[in-house]
Amino acid sequence: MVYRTNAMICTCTNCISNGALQVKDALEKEIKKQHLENDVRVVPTGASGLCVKGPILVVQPEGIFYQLLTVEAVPHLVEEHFLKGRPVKSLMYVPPGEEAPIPNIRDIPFFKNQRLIALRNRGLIDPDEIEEYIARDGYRALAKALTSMTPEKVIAEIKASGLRGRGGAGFPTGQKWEFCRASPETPKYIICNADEGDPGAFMDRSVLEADPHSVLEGMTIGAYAMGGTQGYMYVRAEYPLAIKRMKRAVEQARDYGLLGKDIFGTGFDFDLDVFQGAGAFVCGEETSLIASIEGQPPEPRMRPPFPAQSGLWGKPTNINNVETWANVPVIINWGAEWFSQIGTDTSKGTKVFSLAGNINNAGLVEVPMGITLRQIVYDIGGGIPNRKSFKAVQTGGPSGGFIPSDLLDLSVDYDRLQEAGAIMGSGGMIVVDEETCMVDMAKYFLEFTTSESCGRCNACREGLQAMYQILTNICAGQGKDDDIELLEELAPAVKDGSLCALGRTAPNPVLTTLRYFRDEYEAHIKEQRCPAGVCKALIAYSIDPEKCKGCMLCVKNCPQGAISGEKGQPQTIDQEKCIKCGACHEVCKFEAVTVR
Amino acid sequence: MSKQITLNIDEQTVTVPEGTTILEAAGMAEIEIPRLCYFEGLPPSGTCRLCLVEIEGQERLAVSCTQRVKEGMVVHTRTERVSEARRFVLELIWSTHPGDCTTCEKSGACDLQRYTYEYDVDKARYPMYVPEGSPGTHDDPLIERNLSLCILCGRCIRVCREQGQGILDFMQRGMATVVTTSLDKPLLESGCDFCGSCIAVCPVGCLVERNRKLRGREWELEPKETRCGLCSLGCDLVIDVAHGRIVRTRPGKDGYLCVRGKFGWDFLVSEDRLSQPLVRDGDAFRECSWDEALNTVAQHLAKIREARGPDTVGGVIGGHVSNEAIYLFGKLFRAGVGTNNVDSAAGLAGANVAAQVLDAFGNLRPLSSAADLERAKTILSVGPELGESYPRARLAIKRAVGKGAKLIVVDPSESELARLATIHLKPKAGTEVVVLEGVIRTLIDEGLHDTEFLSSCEGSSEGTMSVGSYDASLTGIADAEVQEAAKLFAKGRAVIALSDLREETVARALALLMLTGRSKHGLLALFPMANPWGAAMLIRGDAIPETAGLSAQQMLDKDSPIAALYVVTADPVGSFGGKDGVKEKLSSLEFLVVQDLFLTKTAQLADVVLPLNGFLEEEGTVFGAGGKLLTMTAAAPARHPPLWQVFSKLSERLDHAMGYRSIREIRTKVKELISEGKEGPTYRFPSLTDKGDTRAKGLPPFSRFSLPETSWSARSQISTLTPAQEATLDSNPANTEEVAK
Ligand SMILES: Cc1cc2nc3c(=O)[nH]c(=O)nc-3n(C[C@H](O)[C@H](O)[C@H](O)COP(=O)(O)O)c2cc1C
Ligand code: SF4
Ligand code: SF4
Ligand code: SF4
Ligand code: SF4
Ligand code: FES
Ligand code: FES
Repeated sequence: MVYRTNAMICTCTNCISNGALQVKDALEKEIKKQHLENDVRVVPTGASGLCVKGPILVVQPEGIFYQLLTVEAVPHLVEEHFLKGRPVKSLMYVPPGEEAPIPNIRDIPFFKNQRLIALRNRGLIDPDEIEEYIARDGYRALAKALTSMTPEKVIAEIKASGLRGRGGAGFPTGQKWEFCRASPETPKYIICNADEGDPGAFMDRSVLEADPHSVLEGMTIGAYAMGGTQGYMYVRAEYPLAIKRMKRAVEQARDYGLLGKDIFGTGFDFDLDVFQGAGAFVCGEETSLIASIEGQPPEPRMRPPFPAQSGLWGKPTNINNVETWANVPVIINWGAEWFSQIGTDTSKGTKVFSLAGNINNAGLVEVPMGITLRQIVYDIGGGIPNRKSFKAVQTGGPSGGFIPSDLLDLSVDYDRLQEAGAIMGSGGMIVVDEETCMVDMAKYFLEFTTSESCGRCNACREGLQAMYQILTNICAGQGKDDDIELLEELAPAVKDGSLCALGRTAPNPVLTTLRYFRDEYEAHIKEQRCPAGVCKALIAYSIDPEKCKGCMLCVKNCPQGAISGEKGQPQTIDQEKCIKCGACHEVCKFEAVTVR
Repeated sequence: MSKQITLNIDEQTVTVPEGTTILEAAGMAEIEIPRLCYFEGLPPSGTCRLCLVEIEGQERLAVSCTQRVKEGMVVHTRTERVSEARRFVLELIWSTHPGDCTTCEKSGACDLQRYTYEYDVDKARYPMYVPEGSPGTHDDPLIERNLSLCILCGRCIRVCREQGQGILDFMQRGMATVVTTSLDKPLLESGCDFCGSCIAVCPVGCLVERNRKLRGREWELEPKETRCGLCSLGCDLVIDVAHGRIVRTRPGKDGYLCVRGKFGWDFLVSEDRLSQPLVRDGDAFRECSWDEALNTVAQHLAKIREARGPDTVGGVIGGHVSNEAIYLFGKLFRAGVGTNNVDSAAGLAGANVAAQVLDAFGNLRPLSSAADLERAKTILSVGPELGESYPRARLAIKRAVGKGAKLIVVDPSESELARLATIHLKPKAGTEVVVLEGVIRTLIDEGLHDTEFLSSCEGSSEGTMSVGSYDASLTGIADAEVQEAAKLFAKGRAVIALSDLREETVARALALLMLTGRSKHGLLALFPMANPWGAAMLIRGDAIPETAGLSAQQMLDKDSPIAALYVVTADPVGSFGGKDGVKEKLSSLEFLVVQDLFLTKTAQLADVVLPLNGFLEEEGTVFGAGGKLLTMTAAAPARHPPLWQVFSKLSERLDHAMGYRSIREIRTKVKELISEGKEGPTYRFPSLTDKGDTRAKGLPPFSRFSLPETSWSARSQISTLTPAQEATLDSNPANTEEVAK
C-alpha cells in the first residue's frame, strides 16, 4: 500500500522516556478516528538527534518537524495537519532568542549543518523492519562486496577511504583489517564494540536503535574482507532497547539469508551473536572486552600481542566501534573517493557527537570532519542558554580535554584536537559556561576515571588517586603551593606508566585545564578563591543591598533559615548558618545575591 | 635450536634465543632489573612498571618483562630517566603502604622494602589516603593474609591459577581493588588446598605462613635443601631453620609443594612429640636414658629368644624411613636375632606393589616419577579423588593436559581430575577393576596390543590372563565408553597414575602396561609415605635364614607364635582399631617395643617406647616414585640417635656387631643390593586370575598366553577400598584435612 503521508515518530530511549509511545498510540487512534488510516502511516523510528525536544514527529515527505509532543496535543495536530492540511505552528521548533518557528526540518540549523552518513537512516526507517533498510539501499554494499570484489579489494577500498576508528583511538580501519587478514590462524572473530561507557554519551546507542542493520551489514562486509566466520556484538547491558532491536535485526538478516551459511549463494559463511556487556567502564577497552566475552573478569591485557594476532580465545580478532562499522556499507556503495572528499587531510568522513552541557540544542549530531567547534556550538547547538557566556568545550569523554574559547575556530579532526590536548574520543562533547569551575570539572572527571580504573596497574590506580586527592584538596581550599607542580609531574608519569588507554588518557582533563585555565588553579591555591563560584569551601553568598528589593523570596527558599531582614528592606545572610547551597542565588529575580 | 638474537644491554653484548624478554635476557647477563609483578615461571602481566628500561630509538620507556628482544636492540637499564620512573612507581605504592617493617615477618626479604631503600623513596610525597574499611588481616588457617600490605602485583593470582586452585583474583576496581577470593570468602570456603604457592611468590608480607610467625627473622634463616618425605613423590624442598628450630619449608627446584610438604611438617615441632625413651612402670611410663632403654630391649629380646626360640621374635617397620634404616632393621632380625620374621608395614595394607612390579617386570623400570607424568601424552588415573589426595600428581596431570595430553580418569566421584578428563569413566564404587578389565578386553579385541613385546614375555602357569567379556551392568559404564578409553590409552607415551593400590587393581594396571608394551616409566603408584619401595624390597636383604619368615599380617594374627615384637613407625592399633584382633594380640605379647614420633595407640601398649627422628631430621636414601635412589639430607637438627645407630647398638647387645661406622657405609651396601637386582628384563605377565585357576583355554592371537572366555567372576572380586587400606597403616599425621583444621 502506498501512503500519502508518513508520520515518523522517534522512539529512541530518550523519547520513550518522555512519553513517545503514548503519543504514538494516541496518534494512531486519532488517525483511525479521522478515517485517515489509509493515507497516513505512523512509523516508529530511531533517534532524530534533537533529544531535548522529544517526543518528536517528522511528517514526510514534506519534512514538517514537530517537537515536545504530548498526548493532549495529538487530536488537534491530527485534525489540523492531516485532515485540514494546516501545519501547527505552536508545536514547531523556535530557535533560541527568536520568535518565528521553522517548520521544515531541513531548515532547522541543528539539522541543516549536519551531514549524515552513520546516521543516514535516522528518523527515516522503522528499525524493526529489514525491508525498510533494504529499500534504502540496505545490503546493496554487501552484495557488491561479495559478488564483485575480492576481500583484498574491500580492504583496499576501506584503506583508500581514510576511515579511522570512531571508538576513541582513531586507528586507520583498513590497516587494522589488513593485520587481521594477514594473521594465518583461524577461525577469526569480528567484534562490534557497543559498550559505550562514557557518561552521557549515546552515539552508539542511537545508531543501534535507529539503524541496526547498517552495523550488521558493515560487520558482515568486514568479516568477508578479513576471513571472519563468527561475530560478536558486545552491547552495554544498560541498553535493553538496542539489544532487542539488534537481536531482531540478526534474526531478520538470518531469515533473509544475509547472515549464516552461504550468504548470497557465494559460499561465504558468517554468523553473529549479541553479547550483553559486563557493566564496567573498562569493559569498553578492547582487551577487557575480549576477556569479558571469554567469561573472564574484564581486565585489560598487555598488548602486544594485539587482538589482530591473538584476540578472542587466542584467535585473530578485529574490533571496531559501532559507528566505524556503520560507515562501511556507505564506503563500499559510494566508493572511497567519494568518502574521502568529506573531511580533512587526515580525518575523513563525518563524526557523530553527543552534544551536552550548557547548550541550547543538546542532542546527537553528525558533522563532517573539519567543521569548527564554533559551528557546532553556535550554529548547530544554538549557543549557550540563559545569556551566559561560553567558557570551554570538553571532547572525548572522561579522558578527553577541555578546549577554551580562544580555540573555538579549531577544526574538529583527530589531529587538531590532539594538538590542543584533547582527543576525539568516541564523541562526547560537553559545553560549559562561565559559571563552571575548571578545577572542579577536572576533579569530576578524575573521580570517574579513578573509580573506573580497573586497578591492575599501579600508575593508573594510585597515580590517578593521588591526582584526584590533590584536586580535592585544592577545591576544599587546602591546596598547597607545589600542588600544580606535583600534578604536572604526576600526569605524564601516569600516562607513561599505564597498561591501557584508560590510564594513558585519564590525566587529559587535568593537563588541559592546567594548560588553559592555570589562573583558576592559582586563584584557588594562592587566593583561596573560586573564580566561578562553585567550590563551596571557597565561596560566600552575600546580598547586595543596592539591588535587593526585600521580596523575601530567598528567605522562603533558604533551607537553613540563614537569611533575615524586614520585608521591603535589604536582606542579610548569616554566614555561620549558610551551607552554600546557592538556592538564594538561583531564585533571586533581581540578581541581588552575589557569590564571591 | 631456535634463532639467536644479539643485543646490547648496559654496554654488554648478550646473545639469547628469539622470544626471550628483555628482563630475561638481562638476567642471563646477570643484570638484575627490578620487578614486582614479574615472577619467573609465571606469565608476565606488565602491571607494576618497575621493570621499565630505556631502549635507544624508542620514545617511550619499555616494559622489560613483556617486551621481547630484537636484533641489535640497545637497552639501558639504569639511566636517570629509568630511575625516575621506577621511583615514581615506588613512591605511589609506598605512600599507601601501611606496613611496619619492624614487626613484619617479611622484613629483610621483602622486595618493596628493598626497592624503596635502593631508590631512596620518600614516603609522604603524595597526599594519599588509605580508603576506609580497607581490608585487614584475614582469619584463615595456615596462611595469614594481611591484605593491607598487598601491593596488588597479582603474582599470587597467577600462581594460584597455574598450580593452586585458581581461587584468587582482583576484586573491585580503582582504589578499592583487592586481591582475594570471590566474595572475599575465607580460603577454606573457597576451595583453597593450602599449597602455599601464593606465599612463595608474594613479594611482600601480605601472605605468610601462620606457623612461622615469631620463629625467626628472615636474615636468621639457614636454608637447607632436601626432599619432602610425606608421600612417595618426594618433592624437592627447602627448609629454613633458625635458632635450631624449623621456621618453614619452601618449594625447591620444582616450585611446588602440596599442603603436606608446605605445612604438614608441623607435627615435627609439636609439643607432644616423644622427647625421651620410656619404660613401662606398672600402668604408667617413666622416662629413662637411651642406654637403659636399649639394654632393656636387648635383654628382653635375648631372653625370649633363649626361652622360646628366635622365631617367636618379630619386627615390623613402616615406609617412612630410609633404605639404610630398613636394611639394617632387617639385618637386626636376621643376623642379630636370627629370625626371618621381619616385614615392612606396607604389606599390612594388603598390597605389596613392589613385589607385584618386580614379579611382572623383574625390575623397577616401570615406575614413573612426577616428571614422567608431566611429559606423558596419555594418562590413565585410577583411584578415588586421586588429585585431591596427591595434589602434586594433580598438578603434573594438569600440566600434561595443558600440553595436550589425553586424560582418562576412572573415579566414581566428580573429582578435580574428572573435570580435566578427556574421558571420565565413572564406575559404581568398587568396580574400578572391572573397568580396567573392559579396557584390557578392548585392547585385545581390537588388536591394539603390542604382540612383539608380548612375545618377549615369559609365559608361565601363573601368567594366565583370563578376562571375561565386559559387563556394563556391573559398572554402569557403557561398552562404547570403555572402548573409546581403550583406544585412547593405546596411543602415545602413557603413564598410569594409581592411588588405588589393591592387589587386583595393581595387577590390571601392570597388565595394561604389558599388553601395550610399555616397560618403562608407565606406573606412578602413590603412597602416603616416603619410601614404600625401599620398605618392600630392602627388608628382605641378603642371606635369608632357612625358614621363611612371617609377614607383618601373619605376625599380628592373634594365633601367631610371636611373643616379642619391635614396631618402628607403624601404628597397627591406630590404623585397624579393634579389628582383626590386632590390639588383642599386641596386648598379649610378652614384650613390645615401639619406636615412633608420638605416643601412638600402639605405643601405649608397649613395654619400651623409643623416640624417633622425623623425616627432615635424619639423612638417608629413599626410592623415589620413579624407582631412582634419592638422597634426603638431615635438614633440621636431629633430636635422637639416628635409626641406624639404634639398630646397630641393639644388634651389638644381641652379640652381633654389624660393624658399620657411618650411614655412608650402609648406603654402599644398599647400592650393591640394588645393582644385584638389576638383571636384564624378564617379563612375566601378571596373574589376573586366582592362583591355581587352570581352566585356561587358548584364545588367539596370544600364542604364549591362554585367554579363557570367562573364568574370572568380576562380581565376586568387587571390594571397596576402605580408608584404612588407603592410609596404609599410616602413623603419619600429615593429612590434608587434619592439617587444615
Ligand atoms: C577505558 C576504555 C574504554 C573504552 N570504551 C570504548 C567504548 O565504549 N566503545 C568503543 O567503541 N571503544 C572503546 N574503547 C576503545 C577500544 O579499546 C577500541 O580501541 C575500539 O573499540 C576500536 O574500535 P575502532 O577502531 O573502530 O575505534 C575504550 C578504550 C578504553 C581504554
Ligand atoms: S611488606 Fe615489606 S615493606 Fe611492608 S611492612 Fe612488610 S617488610 Fe615492610
Ligand atoms: S594456598 Fe594454593 S590453592 Fe590456596 S590460595 Fe594459595 S595458591 Fe591458591
Ligand atoms: S597478596 Fe602478595 S602476591 Fe598477591 S597480589 Fe598481593 S602482594 Fe602480590
Ligand atoms: S606431593 Fe608429596 S612429596 Fe610433594 S610436597 Fe606433597 S607430600 Fe610432599
Ligand atoms: S585500568 Fe587500564 S591503565 Fe589502569
Ligand atoms: S615486572 Fe614488569 S611490569 Fe612489573
